[in-house]
Parts: sequence; C-alpha cells; structure tokens
Amino acid sequence: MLGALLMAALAAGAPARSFGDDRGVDRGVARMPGFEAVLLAHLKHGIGTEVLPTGPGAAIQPGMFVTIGLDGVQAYDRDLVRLQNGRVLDEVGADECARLCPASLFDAFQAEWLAAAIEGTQRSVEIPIHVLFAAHGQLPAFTLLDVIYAAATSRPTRPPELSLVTSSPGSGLRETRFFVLPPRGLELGQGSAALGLTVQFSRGRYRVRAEDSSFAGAGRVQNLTMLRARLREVKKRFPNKQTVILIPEEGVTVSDLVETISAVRADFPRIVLSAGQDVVLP
Amino acid sequence: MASARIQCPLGTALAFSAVLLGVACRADVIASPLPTVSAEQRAAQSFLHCVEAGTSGCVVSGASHVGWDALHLILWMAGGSPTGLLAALPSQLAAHQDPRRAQKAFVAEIERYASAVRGAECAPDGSQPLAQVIDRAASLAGKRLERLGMWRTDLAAVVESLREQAHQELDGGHLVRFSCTFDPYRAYVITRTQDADTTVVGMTTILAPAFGGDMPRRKNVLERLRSESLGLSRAAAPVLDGVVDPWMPFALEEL
Repeated sequence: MLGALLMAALAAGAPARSFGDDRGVDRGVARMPGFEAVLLAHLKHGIGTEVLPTGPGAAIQPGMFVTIGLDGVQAYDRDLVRLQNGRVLDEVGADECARLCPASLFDAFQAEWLAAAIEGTQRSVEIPIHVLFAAHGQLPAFTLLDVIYAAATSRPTRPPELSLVTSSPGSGLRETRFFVLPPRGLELGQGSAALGLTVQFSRGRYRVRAEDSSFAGAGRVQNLTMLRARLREVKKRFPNKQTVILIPEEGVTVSDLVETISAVRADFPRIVLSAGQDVVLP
Repeated sequence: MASARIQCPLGTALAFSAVLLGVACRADVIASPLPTVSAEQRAAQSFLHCVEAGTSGCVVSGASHVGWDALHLILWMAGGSPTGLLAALPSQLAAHQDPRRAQKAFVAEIERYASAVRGAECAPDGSQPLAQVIDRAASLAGKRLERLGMWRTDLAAVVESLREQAHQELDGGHLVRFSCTFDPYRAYVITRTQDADTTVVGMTTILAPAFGGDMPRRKNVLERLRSESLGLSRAAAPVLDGVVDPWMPFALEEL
C-alpha cells in the first residue's frame, strides 16, 4: 500500500513523501462518521438500543460515553467493572465521592481520566467535559447514581456536564442534560432566596417538598399526572424557579427516573439528581 | 553477560598495570554480579539515563521516527478514546506525512517527562519484539473501528499503510517496559535496530493491557493526574460567578 501510494505520487511528478499521499490519507478520513453514529454502533453491539429508556431530549453532543448494562459498566468500549443484576458488588465507598460511589468504580474512572489526560497531551485534544450515560432501562437508579458520582468526582479540574441517553421513536438517540447535587450536599449562604423544590419518589409514590420553610405546596401524590399538576401549581407561585431536585428511592429503575424527568421538565427544566444528600438553606 | 576480572595477588591496581605492561598474571573469567539485560534494554536504559541528565539532546539526530509514529497511531486507533479519534485522527494522519513532525512529537514527549523521569527510579522489567506488537495492534484497531462503526471508510487502507510502514522501520526493534518508583510510574521505550545499531525512537507513558501495559496503582494514578508533566495541576477551574455551585453551574435564583 505504501509503495503503491508512493508510486502514484512519483508518477504524478510529486516529490516522494514518507507516508502515502494526501489523497490516501484524506480518502481514509473524509468520511469519518459522526459522534452519534459511533455511539449508536457501540450500543447496538453492546447492550442494544432497545433496552434504553424511551424519552424525548436534545440532539446528542460528543463526549465520553458510559454504558451501563445489567452486567457491567463501560467507559467508551472499555470494561470498567462488572455488575450483578444491575448492582455493584463492591460495597466499599470512595472517600472522594463522600462514599456515594464504590471505590472500584471511582478508581476505574480515575484511570480513564488519566488516559484521557495523556491522550490530550499526545494528540492535542481536550479532556471531555461532557459525559453521556447510556443505561439499561431496568437498571436500578441507585446504580446509575453510583456510576455518575464515580465518573464526575474523579474528573480532574472540575465536574463534567452530564447527560442521560434515551431512545426516541423516530428520532434515534437523544440526550437529557442533568446536574447532580454536590457529593457532600449543598449549603447555601444568607440571602440566597432558593426554593429547593424536591421530589422524592418510589414507584407510584411521589413526595413533593421544598427546603424553603415557607413553601406551602408540599404533599404526596400517586401518579405522574398528579405530580405534573402539583408542580404546575408550584410553578404558578414561583415562576422564576427552573429547578427540581429528584431523589429516587429503592426500587426505582432508570426507566422510572426518565418518566419522572419527562413529567417534571415542562415546568422545571433544570433537573438535579440526588442520592439523598442534604440541601441546607439559611 | 559475563565480564573478565584479573585475579592477581598484587591487587587490582597493580593487576591492571601488570596487564598493561604485559606481565603474566593468573587470569580467570568469573561470573559477573551485574544483571543480564538484553541489548535493547541496555539501549533503552541508557536513553532514560540520558534524559535524566539532559532531556531532548538524547534524541538521535537523523534517526527515523516515522515507524514509531505509525505504530503509535495504530495503537491509538486500537485503544484511544473514540471522541479523541473523531476529533483529531484526520489532523494526526495528515501530520504523519511530515517526518520532521514525528521527531518533534518525540522530543516534545521527552521534554514533557524529563523532569519527572529524573529521580523516578525507573528500571526495565521486560521487553517484547515490536513486529508482534505491530500486527496485534493493527488487528485490534481494525476490529475495534469496525465495532464502533468507523471501519466503513477507507481507514482499512490507512491502517494497512501504517502497519507496513511500522514493520519496515521497526522490525527487529523492541518495546521495553520500565517500572518506576515515582511518577510517571510506567514508561515504554521503543528501540529500533538497524545494522546492529540500536537506537531509541519513541517513548510513551501509557500502553493498553492488550499490548503488555497496565495502569499504576490508585494513589499513583492520582499523583499522575496532579503531575507537572500533564499540566492539569496548573489548569485553574473556571470562575463561575453567580452560580449555585461548580456542580450546579446555573443561576442561584433558578433553584
């Protein structure tokens, strides 16, 4: 191949080069697929797109992709840790994530970030600031949070931007941006005027509350229609508030979580996930 | 490796003098206590010692580095991040066409780790022929890119070209692995042998397990992330005024 490329270059009267010619290289990379196509191919080869939770979202943006099936976690296409029925076997929590993530997961992601940092120096690419989580719909939401905190706390310099990958009929893969509470909770200063709207939920039971003691809309509802209606009322009273903190309880799956996100985001588009840490308002 | 030592009742200094003067002493060849290391490991270790002493001056002028550059590109395709490949593979392949760039990249890598290597206490702990690494890397790169849906392009031809070039330049050479007591903990040095001369033409501090590499231990990974050579410790987190928290970078009034 190298000889043929050099012959072609010489026949064309061009000076011989050490490797191929522009046409050879350009031809090879001119039709590189887009990021979404690569993610799609990876998912089809791995956990399958049919197991992803269904939901709307925005177009997929490039980043580190993390795949969580019921039997393992991958960063890109590299195996990180094994799961058993969607649960991490390691029960030792890492101090770095305030024990919200298993140490084995934290270590594995830290090694991934090191690899990304070295790649950055060698190939002049940025360490990804965006991490996409493509999780099996039946995965426990707790496991998803384990993985999110492991990936996010181990990233050097600053926490990454986070997205959940969903499958949208007719639109292919979509992503929903979200945030997480800081691992050690959140304490706000005087005069913050935060509401701290929170929905803590298990299957079919949603508890709405707010950290602001003057909030009068607290209560429990039994389904997503009622939850949507309750949050609409809250929105009327607090039109500037955009944020809702979601705390999934035991038994909640990733599909349940995505359904809840879909129900609340119309009125509160800033989704913050929490493993139950404290939010302290002054 | 064995070395000769002259045994003479006159003592060592006198023995050397005696040899120089042609005086006959009893000469026995005895086993040397020095470790037996291969030629490529000696070359690689000499290179790292040179780096400890004087950085990029250790890169042999005129040596061909394109073979390592070709193999390094294949290794990247076999194990690098898909995001990085999508972002930079076209420009990296284009840059590969310039042989001077390959040497510059090597020099840059040496300069990046020169101060870390100094005092890192690195010692070779194995080597493998590059010919095998090249074929394994090309095979894994092909399978991986296919799995990721990137193989439908003419990348197959590009990988094959790189594989041929790597073989042409590096067959007979070795990948020498170093373990170090301190940062960077691992170094993989690439030797090239031509006309019985062994020179070092490449170095990296990361190698996928499929090619004999591994990650340092937990605390060492953290230390590497904070090391001067990666520059992350100097990268300040962006200032986010008016936001809730670095974890929730949106306006406080929205909470």
